[in-house]
Amino acid sequence: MEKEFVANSNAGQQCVILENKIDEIRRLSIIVEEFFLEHQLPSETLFKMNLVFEEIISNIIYYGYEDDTKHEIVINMNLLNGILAVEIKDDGKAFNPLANPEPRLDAPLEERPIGGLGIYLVKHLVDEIRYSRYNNFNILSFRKNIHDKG
Amino acid sequence: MENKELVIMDIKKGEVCVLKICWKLDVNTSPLLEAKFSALLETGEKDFILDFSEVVYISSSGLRAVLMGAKKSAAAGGKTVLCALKPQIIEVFNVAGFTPLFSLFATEEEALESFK
Repeated sequence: MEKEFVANSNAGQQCVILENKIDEIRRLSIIVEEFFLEHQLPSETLFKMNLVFEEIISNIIYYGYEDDTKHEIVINMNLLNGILAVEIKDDGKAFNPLANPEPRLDAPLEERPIGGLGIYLVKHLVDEIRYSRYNNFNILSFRKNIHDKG
Repeated sequence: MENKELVIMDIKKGEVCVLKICWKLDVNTSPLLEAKFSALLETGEKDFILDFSEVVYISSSGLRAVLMGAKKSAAAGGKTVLCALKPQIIEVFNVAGFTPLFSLFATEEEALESFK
């Protein structure tokens, strides 16, 4: 039985600033895990959120920058009324990951393309996701209903 | 970075190579699975069972490594099957549309049976 989750009494905020290095994803996953433990959020959702974070952040780090200098990726998590709202902001080149075509999921093994899966997973694991470009920043925001199974 | 290593044990069971993968298949560790597959294929292995009983996390990079390995073993005339996936891993396979691509078995014994 899952712990009873009382809306309103369980609110929290966290800001995390990552460097554009792939090792930072591990550090973020530990912070997210601590946030989930602190607020007694279900472990199924933790797994999915870490997956979502890994896909989005690795995409930014691998494809977002046209130079080799240090950049910041700013993540804001906001838990309120059973909804986790997240905003991820980066100063990479303008790129809307949600505009990518969806991968062909009906192709047999031999023809299955190797790429394109990450963002597809993200879209299907969160409840609402939006992209905007503002003042030379990419802003990806999403919401996850914590109560929902799936 | 601590815990970066992925532990993969390979055990030969008859003609089949069982790869027991431990812990997480993420962006840091998945290239190691791809490398393991490639190394074993080079030594002539072509039939694989991926034992997922200790895998608690998979991302698209892990899915990619599994897909690459399966494609290469199929190209070599063999096959790759999976066993003992935890429910949260099966869910990711389902979302990614990977479930129809692979034979998934509850236990290693059943997976071994499928090669007979």
